[in-house]
Amino acid sequence: MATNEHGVPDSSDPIDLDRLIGELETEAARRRAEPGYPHDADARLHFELARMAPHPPGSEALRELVAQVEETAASGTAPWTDADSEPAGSRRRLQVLRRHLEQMNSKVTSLGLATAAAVDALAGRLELLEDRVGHLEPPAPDASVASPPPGPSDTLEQWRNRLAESLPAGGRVLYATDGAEEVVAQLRAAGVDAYGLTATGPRHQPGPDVRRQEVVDHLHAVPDGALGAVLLVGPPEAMSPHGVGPLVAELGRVARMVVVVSEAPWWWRLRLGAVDADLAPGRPLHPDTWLHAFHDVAMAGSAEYDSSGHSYRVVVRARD
Amino acid sequence: MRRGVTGRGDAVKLGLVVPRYGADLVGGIEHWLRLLCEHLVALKDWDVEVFTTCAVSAATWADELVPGDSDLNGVTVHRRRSVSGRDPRSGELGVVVRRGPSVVPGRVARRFVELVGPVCPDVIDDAAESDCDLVAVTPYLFWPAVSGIPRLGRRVIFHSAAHDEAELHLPIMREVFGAVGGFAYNSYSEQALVERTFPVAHLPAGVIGATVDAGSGDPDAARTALGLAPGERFVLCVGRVERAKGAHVLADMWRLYCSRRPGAPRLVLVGPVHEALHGDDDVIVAGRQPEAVKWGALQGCELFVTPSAWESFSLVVLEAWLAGAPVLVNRRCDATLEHCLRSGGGLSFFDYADFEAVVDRLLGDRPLRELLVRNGRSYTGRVFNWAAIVDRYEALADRVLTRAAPFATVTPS
Repeated sequence: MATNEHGVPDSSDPIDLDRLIGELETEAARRRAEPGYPHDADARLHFELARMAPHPPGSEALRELVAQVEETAASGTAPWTDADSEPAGSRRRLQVLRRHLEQMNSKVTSLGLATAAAVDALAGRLELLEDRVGHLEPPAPDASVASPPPGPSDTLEQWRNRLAESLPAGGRVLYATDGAEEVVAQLRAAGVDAYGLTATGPRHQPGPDVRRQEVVDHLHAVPDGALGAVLLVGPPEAMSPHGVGPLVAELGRVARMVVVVSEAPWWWRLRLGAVDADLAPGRPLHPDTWLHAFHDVAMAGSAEYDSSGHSYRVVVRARD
Repeated sequence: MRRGVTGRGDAVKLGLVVPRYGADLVGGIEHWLRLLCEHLVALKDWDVEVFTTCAVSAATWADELVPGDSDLNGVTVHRRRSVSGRDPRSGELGVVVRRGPSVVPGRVARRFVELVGPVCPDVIDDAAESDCDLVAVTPYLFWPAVSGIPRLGRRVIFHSAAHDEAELHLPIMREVFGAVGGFAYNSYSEQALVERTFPVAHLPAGVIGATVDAGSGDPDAARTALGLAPGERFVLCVGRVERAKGAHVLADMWRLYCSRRPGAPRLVLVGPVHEALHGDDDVIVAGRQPEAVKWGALQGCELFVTPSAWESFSLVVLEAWLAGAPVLVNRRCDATLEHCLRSGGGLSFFDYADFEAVVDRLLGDRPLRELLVRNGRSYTGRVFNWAAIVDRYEALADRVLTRAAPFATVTPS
């Protein structure tokens, strides 16, 4: 059920729209397959509907071609017709070209579907890998290693309470994690011009201070140097190593300071080593990995673990 | 005078820069912003001043009203003459500009915007020199926004009313959108469009939306006015009759539908006819009708269809729900589709096969129609009531005020 920006269900009466739409699409597909279905009229109407609609980026070439076809048809000077051709011949050729354009359009759609299917397959493979690696358990306490005392598993809270520390003066502060509403409110109450991102939650934005969007997608739409700081809490702990480069590149571009807080028991690297731990799907990244990545975008700083050894905070700033 | 919107205890005064303003302007962003201003005065006790031209017609921007200062429903209106209105040559240049908007040089784009008009430097001067804490500006396409926003800077709450059209991709728009203090969007889809077109996602933004008040009408009287028989079932479309709004393709689809469903209800198109469309046994082109007829038709129709793919909000969808009509929208239109998905109050079509399947289902399933209407009506009342809208606007203003240095000006890059 969709909810509005206040967390209230948008629908008052239960209706399974997804199911209803699915039924209707199935019915539409059945009709298209019926003998005698007016495919010609359907194609013509489809073309008209598409022509009268916004076109996504990348369809400029198709749109220009359609415009040229229309212009040529209007002027009656189709370059592919010779002087003796009848107007009806020109119209027939125009129809053929229209069909060709519609087929191109359907191929683009098919390509998109195929890409989506490939991504789904990859996601399934990744889940399988994560499932297998997930059986790895923390090692038994090793007398040779001075383990910190065990602490609560939810150690992010203490970092959240210290987020306002050392923030640069001026500039907006972006806080990104699930459940951002509360922390953003705390930061704003502390006088920080903060707003938030959350990757899950209501279908639409939870409110004016918090948007529902992926971090990298959001940062793509932020100009260079526009943010005073970005605070990433939680989500990086399960980030794929392959996602670090693009994320850090965007962070280095838009922010003067970045704080990464992640749950990552320090002893994982004892068993796997930093590289293997980072490359294990679903495992949190080692703080050194973040520092190394930020070094490549001219940001430097330090990392520290909490007293229980369950989580860390990386703080980096742009090098002058 | 509004006090303490930011919790800082200071007074807030809102300005509005808009190409035309007046009680006689019905429909469109100007109409809705007038209502917003009046409700901000009435419900939030804000001070609101409007900076506008003497124009009535968007087709010419000709000075038709008397310049000067006046009061309209508690809002102070400063009306100034324009230097020039809409130049017919804007159409010719527009053809060139729309071919490849992203590579149009700034000089050409600015000339195009000048020709579109209305060029009204006095309006911008008044707004810039005013003591308004915030200045709402709308819409993005016309001269007042393009020329005024760089001067007004971070004080601006931008009601861009953006569509995914060629003009949005003019390079000069990047500077305009990047200079404002915050954005008031009509829909989440408009916000998504703007944020994927310009690097402005870090700026305060809110989806404010709009609302309507239910009108009254008599379905039987409307049938008579529209040329229908007493009690006759019909399907309704309300809006300008022009190709870009989908009226012609809807008529074609309905004729095809009727050819495959003998005895189907007739389709009635209500709205000014901007491009000729001939009626027949299946389709009635009723032209512009009084509000009472429109509301009577909305109450009496079996189904309301809006075929346009170019809506930024579509008040008439909300009107249909308030009147008790289920809604069918074009799936290519993000704004109307968003209403349907958020509310569970409407269905959509992408091509004729969808259209036929959905219309068959809706016309033959009264409980489904009633369920959709209940959901749509509930959504309209809950999300788009004036109290909720002005609260959202106040929250947005709070964010913009927090960021905006007083009277900050952005220097064009």
